[in-house]
Amino acid sequence: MDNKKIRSILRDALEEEIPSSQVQLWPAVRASLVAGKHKLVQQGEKMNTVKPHRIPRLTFAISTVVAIALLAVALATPQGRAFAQNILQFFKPAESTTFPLQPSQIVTSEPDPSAPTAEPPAPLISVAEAEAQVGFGIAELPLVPDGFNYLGARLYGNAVNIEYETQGHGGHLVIQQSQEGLIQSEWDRVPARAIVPVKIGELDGEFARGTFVVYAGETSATWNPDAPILRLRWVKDDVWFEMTKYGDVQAIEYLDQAGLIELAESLVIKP
Amino acid sequence: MEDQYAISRLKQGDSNGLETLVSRYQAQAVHAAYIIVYDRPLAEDVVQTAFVKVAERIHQFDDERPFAPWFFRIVVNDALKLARKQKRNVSLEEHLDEPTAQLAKWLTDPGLQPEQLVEQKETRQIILKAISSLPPGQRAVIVMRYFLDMSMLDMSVKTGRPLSTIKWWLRDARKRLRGLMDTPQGR
Repeated sequence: MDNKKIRSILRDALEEEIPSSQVQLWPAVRASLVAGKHKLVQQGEKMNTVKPHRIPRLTFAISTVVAIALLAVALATPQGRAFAQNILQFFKPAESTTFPLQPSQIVTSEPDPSAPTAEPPAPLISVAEAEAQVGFGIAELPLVPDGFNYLGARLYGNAVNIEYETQGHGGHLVIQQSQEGLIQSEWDRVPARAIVPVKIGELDGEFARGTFVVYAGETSATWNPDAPILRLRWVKDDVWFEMTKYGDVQAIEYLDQAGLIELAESLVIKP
Repeated sequence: MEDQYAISRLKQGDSNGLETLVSRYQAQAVHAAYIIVYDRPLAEDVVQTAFVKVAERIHQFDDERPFAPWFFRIVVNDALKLARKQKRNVSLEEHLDEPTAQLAKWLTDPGLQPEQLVEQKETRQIILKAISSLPPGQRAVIVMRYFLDMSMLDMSVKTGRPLSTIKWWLRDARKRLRGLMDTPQGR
């Protein structure tokens, strides 16, 4: 047997293991270039408006809280949901890396006592209670992931969140499940270059790091690709899933893209 | 778009040039990295990083030379570093079934009879699994020779092993693989 045959066997084996058609790295490569502020994407894509990588922790914390509160409000509103099943697009691409805020969303550096406060999160309930409310089996992790404590489930309309919190706070893991799709508000969108196609077992999914944040005094939200918010979206048995990791706490540093996928693959519906 | 044109565009700061190269080489590069790191997400990370390095270093690239060998050297280098760091080479005794473990040994040990190794197994999968049990450096040699078609001299330079060792090892592996594939079980 000659080298050609050996090469052919190897290539066939690898093609069987990782079909070439499933390898789509360009979005991830572009995301890396954007995150690294490479002049290539700055020139080509007019990305000069991207904010500095490192933002003050407090500012980011405020921005993240605002973003999460707005997400929670959107979740509770049926109008906030867009259904993307027909196009199998897990993250709706953002048209730009910024979008203007409504006047009520603008964050000032000094808290305004007269400003309306964000709605509190839904109360924690058991998974069984949540299942009874939404009428479908809720998938759970077999074990509490390292570094987290289990909080419980929250119900937002027909969507269920299973939530974990880091020991000592500062980080969260939220697994959202819904038969009605995932929210696709402006805040949830992701610039196309930051959307990474992934596989969760045999299922297609998408991963994204970053979020839109609001800097004090600014009148627009800006995409921050370095924000420690990692999201994974996929669909299984007509249920839409989003797994989100918030925070850059050291105890959960290990939970990266591959870690989230591994957790996602381990989800089971307990009898 | 030919490689040279894509590279020329890339050097001018046009991201379409890089996108063309990614589209053309991503699958082969992930396959090559996979043979070394044996983890698909890690292999994709390696290749993604390699393309970013291409963007960063493209001005160091000599237009007169072919792109693929230059690029795949980056991929193999990075994959090898990662594999060594991750220590992903598994213990034969602990993790491999008997035929696969024997095949893995056969790739490096001339004393074994390959005809006995492939019973009840799909040969391609056995070979992949067997390669996975080798140390990262030897996996890289297999990639370089049988997948990237590198010369033995290049491999010797790349791996830091004497040319005679590379030659002996590959000649023996080829001879025994031929024997393996010529048996009815291997077809």
